[in-house]
Amino acid sequence: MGKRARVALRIVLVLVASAALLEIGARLLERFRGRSFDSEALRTEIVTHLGAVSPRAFIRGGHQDMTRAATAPDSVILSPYTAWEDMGLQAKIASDHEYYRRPESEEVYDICVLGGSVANGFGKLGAGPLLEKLRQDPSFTGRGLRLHNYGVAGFKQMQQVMLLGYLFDWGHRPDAVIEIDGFNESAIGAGNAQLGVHPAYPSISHWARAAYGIKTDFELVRLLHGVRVKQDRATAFGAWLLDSGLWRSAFLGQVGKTILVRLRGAYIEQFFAYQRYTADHPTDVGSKGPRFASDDESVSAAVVTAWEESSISMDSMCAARGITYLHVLQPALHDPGSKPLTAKEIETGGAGPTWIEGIHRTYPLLREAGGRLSERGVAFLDATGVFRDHPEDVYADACHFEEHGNAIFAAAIGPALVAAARK
Amino acid sequence: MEPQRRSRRVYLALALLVLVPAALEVGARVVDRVRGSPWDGERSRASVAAAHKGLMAAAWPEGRTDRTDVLLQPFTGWQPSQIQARIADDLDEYRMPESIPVFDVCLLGGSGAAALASEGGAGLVGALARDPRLAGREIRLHAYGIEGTKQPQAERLLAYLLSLGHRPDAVIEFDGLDEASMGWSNALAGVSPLYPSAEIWGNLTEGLRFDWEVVELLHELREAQFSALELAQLHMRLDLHRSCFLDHAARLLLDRRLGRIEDVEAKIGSYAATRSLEAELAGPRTSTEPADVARVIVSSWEEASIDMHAMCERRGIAYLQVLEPAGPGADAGVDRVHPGLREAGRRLAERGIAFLDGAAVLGDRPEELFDGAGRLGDRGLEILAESAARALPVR
Repeated sequence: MGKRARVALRIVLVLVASAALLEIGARLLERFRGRSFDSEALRTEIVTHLGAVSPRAFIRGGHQDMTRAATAPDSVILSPYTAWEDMGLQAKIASDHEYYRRPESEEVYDICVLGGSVANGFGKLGAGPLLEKLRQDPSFTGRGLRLHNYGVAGFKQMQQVMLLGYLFDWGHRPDAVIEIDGFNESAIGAGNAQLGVHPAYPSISHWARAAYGIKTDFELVRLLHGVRVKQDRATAFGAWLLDSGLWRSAFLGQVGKTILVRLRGAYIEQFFAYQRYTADHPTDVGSKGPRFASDDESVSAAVVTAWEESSISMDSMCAARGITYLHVLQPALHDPGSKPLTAKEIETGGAGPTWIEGIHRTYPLLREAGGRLSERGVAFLDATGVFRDHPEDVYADACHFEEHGNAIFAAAIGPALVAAARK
Repeated sequence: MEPQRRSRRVYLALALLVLVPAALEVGARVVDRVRGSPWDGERSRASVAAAHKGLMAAAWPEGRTDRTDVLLQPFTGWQPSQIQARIADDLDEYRMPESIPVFDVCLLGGSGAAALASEGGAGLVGALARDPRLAGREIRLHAYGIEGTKQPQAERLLAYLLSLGHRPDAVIEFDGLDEASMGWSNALAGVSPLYPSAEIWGNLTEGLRFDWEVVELLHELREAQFSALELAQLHMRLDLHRSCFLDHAARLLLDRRLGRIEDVEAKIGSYAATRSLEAELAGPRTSTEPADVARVIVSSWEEASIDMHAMCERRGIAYLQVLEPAGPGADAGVDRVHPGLREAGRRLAERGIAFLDGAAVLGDRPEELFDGAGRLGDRGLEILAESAARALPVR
C-alpha cells in the first residue's frame, strides 16, 4: 500500500469514526435528556415543520374563500355594508331570508342578537339561559323561541345599525332585537382615533385584515415573492431530508431538522414582514374616514354620538315594523367599580392602555347617553353593574364572559326584554 | 505525440478560436445588410437600455384598477373621495348656531339624484324658497346623490350621516332606475341584487386581489422579470452591443425572456377575468329565478325606504321618497322591476310615507322629456324637482 493510499484510508477511518461518535454522542445526549432517540418521531417532527411552511391558509380570496366558508365560517371577508363579515354570515342571512318567508316562522318568537364578540358569545352561551328565562314568562308560554345570533367579532356601532338595516332589506322579521355593545365602541373607538382613523369607523385593524391584499402595490408583490422563495427553499430542503432518510440518524437527522427550522424561520420572518406591511398600510384599502378632532374629549364625544344615534335609528327601524328593541350596555372588566376582580381575572384581563383609557373615559358617558335613550323611549338596559355582586370568576378576558357570566347576563336581559315587549 | 504535431494542433485551435468568432461576426453583419437593416450597435444598446429601464420600473400588468377617485367605504361599499370631505364640512356646518334657521335638504340616491341636483337643484331650492310653509328661510341643498350607487347604499349613507350627527330638516330619496337596472344586472352576473353595482364593487375588490393563484402568478412574473433583467444587465455590463453576433445572440435570449413576461402577464389578466366570484363580491346566495330577483329588488327598495322614513320621522326630519320615471329605451331590468316599484310606492304611501311617483307627475307629457336610455332629460328633471319641493311634507 502506497503512502497516499494509507493517508486516504486514515482519513476515511477518521471520518467514519467521527460520524459514529457523533451518532453515538447524539443518542447518549438524548438518553441523558431522559428520552431515547425515536427516528419516527423525528420524521413526524420534520413533516410537521414542513406542513407549517404554507401561507395558503392566511391569504384570502379566490376559490379557497368558498371552501373556507364551509370549513371555517368565522373567517372574515370584506362586506360593502358592514366593512367585513364572517364567511358564514352570508349563508345565515340567506337561510333566515327563506325562514322568515315560511308560515312556521310566524309561530315562533324570533330574537335577533346584534353586537360584537360579546354579543356573539351571548348568542352561544347565553341563549339557553335567556330562552329559559323567557319561557317562565306567561306571555311566551306555549310559543316557540328562537335566537338568531348576528353578533360578529369586532363589530361596533355603526356596524350593527347597518347590519340591522341590511337584514330588514332581506325581509328578516324578528319579533325582538337585542343590541349588546359598549366595549368595542369605547376601546376600539379610542384605538382607531390613536391611529388617525375616525372613532366611529369600524375597527381599522379588522377592516384592513378583511381587505388586505386588495391594494396590490409592487412592494407587496416583492414581499410575497420573498415569501414564495423562502417557502420553496424550506420545502425543497424538507422534502430532500425526508427522501434522503437522514432522519434515521440521531445526529444527521437533528442537524437536518435544525436547518429546516432555520429555513422555516426565515420563511416565517418574511411572512411577518408581509403581514406587517399590510397592517401598516391599512389606509391604503380605503380611508381613515372623515376628518375629526383628535383630542380625548372630542373622540369620546364622537363615539357616544355614533352609539346613541345608531341606537335611535335601530329603535325607529324596529318600531316601524312593530319589533321590540332592547339596547344593552354590556359590562366591562376595566370599568372601575363594576366588579370585584379575582386574581385570575386580573391576570387574564389585560388590555392595551388606549383601550383601558377608552373604557374609563367613555363608559360613564355611555351610561349618561343611555339615560337619554330611555327618556326618548328606547328600551335601554344598563348592564354594566350585573357582576358587581359576583366576586367569583366571570370574565375570560377584558370583555368576554365565561358560561357563568353569560347566565348572569341573561338573567338581567330576560326581564328587560319582557318589559320592552310589553311596552 | 510529436512536439511539432502538438504545436500544429494548438495553432490550429487558436486560429479556429479567432476565425470562428470573426466569421460569425462578419456573417452576422452580412446577413443584416442583406436583410436591409445594417446592424447598428448603438441603437441596439439603446433598445436594451430601454428594456432594462422598463424592467427596473417593474410595471404592473395591464388591468390593474386605478381607484384614485374612489375610496372603499365601510358602510356604503365605496364613495367618491370628495364626498368624504363634504361629510366633514357639512357636520361642521350643522354644529354652527347659524345653521339653525337654515332649512337643510339632503338629497340622496344614485345617478338620478346626482342629475336632479345638477339640473333641477336650483329649481328645487327656488321652489322651496317660495314655499310659504318655510316662511322665507334660507334653503341649503346637500347633494349626496352618487352616480353608480343604488339602494340600500343610500339608506346606509343616511344612517351614517345621522349617526355622525348630521341634522338636515328634510331628506329626499330619489331613485328607482338604478335599483332596477343594476340590481337586475347584478343578478345576471351572479351577484346579489342587494349588493352595490357588481361592476363597480368588483373593480374595487377584484382586480388583482390576492388569492393563492394570484400569488403564484405574480411570483412567476417576478421570476421572469428578474431573469430578463439579469440578461439586460449582462448585455450592458459586457458591452455586447459592440459585437453584432453576440448582440444578436443576447437579444434573442432577452426577447425570449421578455416574451415570457408577456405570457405571464396575459395569464394574470386571463385569470383575473375568469376566476370564480369571491364570496365578498357575490353576497348572500338566494334564488336566481327572475320572479324572485324582481321580488327581492322591490322588497329591499321598499324596506330601505321604510327605514329611511323611520330614521327621519324619529328625528323630526321630513322625508320624501321619489320614484324616478322610466322612459322609452330603458333596459330589461327597468322594464321588469319598475312596475313593482310603483306598486311598492303606493304601499309606502298607505303606510303614511310621503311618496311621489315621478311617472304620475309627468303624466302623458311628451317623450322628449327623456333621453334615449329612458332617463329624464334636463327639462324633465326640472319639472320633477319642483314637484318634489311641493310634495315634501314640511312641518
